[in-house]
Order: sequence, then C-alpha cells, then structure tokens
Amino acid sequence: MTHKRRELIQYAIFAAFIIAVPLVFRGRQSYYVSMLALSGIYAIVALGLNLLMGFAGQISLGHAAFFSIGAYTTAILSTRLGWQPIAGLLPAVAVSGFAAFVIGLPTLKLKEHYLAMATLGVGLIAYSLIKADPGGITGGVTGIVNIPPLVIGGFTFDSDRSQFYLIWAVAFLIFALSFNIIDSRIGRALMAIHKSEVSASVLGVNVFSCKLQIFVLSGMYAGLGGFLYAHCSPMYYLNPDDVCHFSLSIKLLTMVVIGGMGSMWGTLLGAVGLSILPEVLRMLGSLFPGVNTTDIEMAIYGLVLAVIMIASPRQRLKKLLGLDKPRRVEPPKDVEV
Amino acid sequence: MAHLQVQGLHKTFDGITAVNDLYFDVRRNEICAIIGPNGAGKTTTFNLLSGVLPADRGKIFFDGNEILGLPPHDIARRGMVRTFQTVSLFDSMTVLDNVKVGCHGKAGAGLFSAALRTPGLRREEKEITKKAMEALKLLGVADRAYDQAGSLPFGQQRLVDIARALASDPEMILLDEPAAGLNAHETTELASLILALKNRGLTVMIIEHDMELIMEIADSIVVLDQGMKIACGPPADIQKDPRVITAYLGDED
Repeated sequence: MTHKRRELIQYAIFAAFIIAVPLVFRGRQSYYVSMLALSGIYAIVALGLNLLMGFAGQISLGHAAFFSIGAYTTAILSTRLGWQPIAGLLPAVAVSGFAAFVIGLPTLKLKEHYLAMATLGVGLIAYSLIKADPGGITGGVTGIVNIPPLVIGGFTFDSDRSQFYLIWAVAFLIFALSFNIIDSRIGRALMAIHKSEVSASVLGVNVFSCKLQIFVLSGMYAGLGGFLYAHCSPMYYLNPDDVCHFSLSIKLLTMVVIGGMGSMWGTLLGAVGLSILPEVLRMLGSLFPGVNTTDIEMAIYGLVLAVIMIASPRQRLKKLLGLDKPRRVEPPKDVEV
Repeated sequence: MAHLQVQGLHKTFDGITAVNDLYFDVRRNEICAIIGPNGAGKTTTFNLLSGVLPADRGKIFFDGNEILGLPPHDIARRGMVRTFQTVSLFDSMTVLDNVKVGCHGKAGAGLFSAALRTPGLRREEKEITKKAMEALKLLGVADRAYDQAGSLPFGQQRLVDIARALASDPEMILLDEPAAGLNAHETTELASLILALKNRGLTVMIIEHDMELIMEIADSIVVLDQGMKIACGPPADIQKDPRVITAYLGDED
C-alpha cells in the first residue's frame, strides 16, 4: 500500500469515527457525546504539545496557561464587550500565540530541566494572575459566567451534538495541518533538533527560530482549544481551576506521553483516553463505596507517567508485535531511485 | 584571495590552550589536511571554523567575509559545511529525510505554507527531494534512500553523513576523520570520492590520521601540535620536515 493511500484511509477512519459517535450515543447516553466533545478540545491542544514535545523535543509544563489565555480572551470579549462569540476566535488565537512568543523568547534558550522549570513557573504565574485578577477582568476565583454559545451563519452551537461535530471538525483540520507540518522542511528540522541541536545547526537549521516557531504554534493551538472550551463548556462558565490549573498542564502532557510522544494518532488516542478516564474511574469507584475518585485521578496521571517513563511500553509493545524492525518507507512513484 | 583565511585564532578551555594563535590560509578548490597528534587542537579548530564553539580571539575570513561569531546555521548557509568525527544521523528518520535536512538553509518555506501545503511548498519540496537524491547518488547510497538511517551499516552511515552536508551545494566542506572506522576498501573509495568533490569545484578541509590517505589526496597540509601550527606546505615538504617527524614519530613511537 502506498504512503498516500494509507494516509487517506487513516483520515477516512478518523472521519467515520467522528460522524459515528453522536449517532451511537443517543438519548440518555448523550452525556458521553459532550464528554467526547471535550476530549476533542484536549486533542487539539495535545496535538500542538506533541509537535513541541514529541517532535521538537522541547518540554512545556505550562501549556494550561495558553489554553486559559485563549479561553479568557474570548470570554471577556463576548461577555464584557458584547462581541459576537465567533469574533473572539482570532483574538484568542493571536493573544495566546503572542504570549507564547513572549514567553518562548527567553525560555527556549534553556534546555531540558531548566525549560521544564521555566514553563512550570509560567503556568503558575498565569494561574495566580487569573485567580487574583488584578485588572478586574477575569472574575478572579468566581470566573466568568454566561458565556454565549457560538453562532456561525445563523446556527447556534448549543447542543451536545452540534458542539461535538464543531469541535471534532476543528480537531480534524488541526490534525491534517499538523501532519503537513511534520512532512515538511520545518517538520524535518524539528526532528533533527530533537536528535541533535548541533548537527541540525551545522546543516543550516536555525535551531532557536524553529523552536520558537513551534512553541508559538503550539500556543496558538492551545488558544484555539481555549476558545472552543469557553463557548462549548457544559455550563458556559470559566474558572481558573478548570482551565489554568497545573493539573491541566500535566493532563495534557500525559496525553502526549501516553500516546507515545511523536505519534499524532497516539496523541489523539491519549486525549480521548484520558478524557474518559474520570468516567471509567467513577464506574469503578461505585464498586468501592467511600472512595472519592476525583482525588485519585491526579494520582493515576502520575502513575501512568512514571510507568511510561520507566518502562517505555511503546518500544516494548513494538518489539512484542515485531514492529521494531528497521522500517523501509515505500518510495513515492514520481521519484526515481 | 584565499578561500579561507584564519588569523590569530585562539581558544582556551579552563586555562588550557587548545588552539594557540593559529594562522593559515586555504586556497580555493584545494584539499587541505589538518594533521597532528591527539589533542593537537584539530577538532577544536573545526569547531571554531563552523561556529560550534566561540573563539577567544582571532579572525576567520570565508570568501573574504568575516564569519567568526556567526551562528553555525549562518555559516552553513554561507556555504561552509562540516561533518563530525562521530557520525550522528537522525537515526529514526529515513536516509532521504536526513539529507533533506541538509537542504534546510537553501529552502524558505515557513510553517504556514507547510501547514496548508501550498503549490509553492510542493514545488520546493520536489526541488529538495531532487537535490537530496543527487547528493545520495554522488555518494553511491541512493538505493538506501527510503531506509531508516539508523539501520544502515556504519560505512554507509558515514557516506550519508557526507551526502547530508553536501545537499546544500556548499563551497567548502570540513571532514573530521572521515576514514575512521572504515575498512581498507571503503577508505580507497572515500579517497576517490574526496577527489571527486574537488573536481566538482569544492574546497575540502580534512582532519585525518590515515597518513597514506592524506599524502595521496592533500594539496597542502597544516600540522598542529599542542594547539600550535608547527608546519604547513605541500605533502612532500611536510614528510621531510624534522619538526613534524619529532612531533609525530617522537610521540607515536
């Protein structure tokens, strides 16, 4: 099977999955549709984080900051300034991207642990700023309520199903764009940087510029996710603990890691898997009365991260399935070898 | 005018002088070898030339332009590329993609044209693929283009490493011990390859311990010892130079 053909089939499966979910979960089960819609938002953010971490090898422990910047930007514009919700899209994405640029400029000069600590710090600063609300615009601990749903071309996205389709259509688009980026000059440069910054730089790759570009792009993805979250969240309500808490950054990071860093499909599965984890836990929790499952959710993320870091099951799984053999890619037809 | 002029290049590490007030010229389209015992400062010199390490002082003129202090990617884009002693291919990528990274500086497509796969980007990608395949053909490893780079035997990885550096059509290439780890047959092939590069108009600088190889292909030789230049000239003169014989043979035997 040619590369192109396989790609098309993968996209088709993805699209079929998106179309099927709301058709399968109907009536009383439509709760699952809204949960999976939310997972689509996380998938968008995680795809950006995967470009940054999985491909370029740069860690961010503060991605919730960009998510919340996007969410708050559009929420403030549409509630306090009375903007049309859709008009908040560009500002939300642009402000998050700009924030990523300003933050990336000094922090991306750092490496590994130092970058992790710096991005962690940025996340914490964003959280406390939004919570303390010195400018009187974020609503502090109470957050922002009554955010209007999105209206596009006269259609209001206020049902679980319409929001699900909207979010996953955006996720699908972001997925395709990301795939294109990986399969390009920039994508190759990112992978080169991941392996060796020195080797990449002597081949003409401007390492810092590439890192900054992908950091800004991942910030914009997060801002886009935040935008969707603000207008599609179950109660049309934002508060700092939901969108800016350190645990969200960890959750996003876990999605990427669980999907086997650098795998776009893996990231999608990671995002969906971790989003339904609370539900699975609740079901399991009902078997053990007295256990508050939301308390152990964080512990499970931690455990998952630790186990993956130690055991690297992706490599093991590959070995088990005989997929660890050196791969040979099918040459495209228009290239003579 | 010399293709490369090195003037008063100096580098110390924690008080130890690695490169000591070094002066030399490399003429356009010649093969210039840097030799010397271990720790003579050969690789450090390459690191300074390619911008991988900052120098303490000195001047480097490439094509008449001062390049000292420029970042490595800038120096590469000006046409001076290098390989490292230890081959470090991006081993999870295909051979072809490795070489395509070498074209990075010559192409200009940004993030957004890549994301949208614009016609301009498609054209550029095609051009890059063509360039990369040409480089692989030149090195005789085109048949491995779609293999994972890490799966190639060492000798072929070395060739891909050189192809990757050549993909950007550089004017000058610095090869750091390209024959290390190669067998006799592969070394002979490497020698004719380096001569072929010269025939294509490239200027070649080479660090190498294989004296037979050096004497066969080099037009000029710079001999370093403890960071200092102790001799330079054509191979025939270097072979007879008493200082070189003491520095070299005195140390080695």
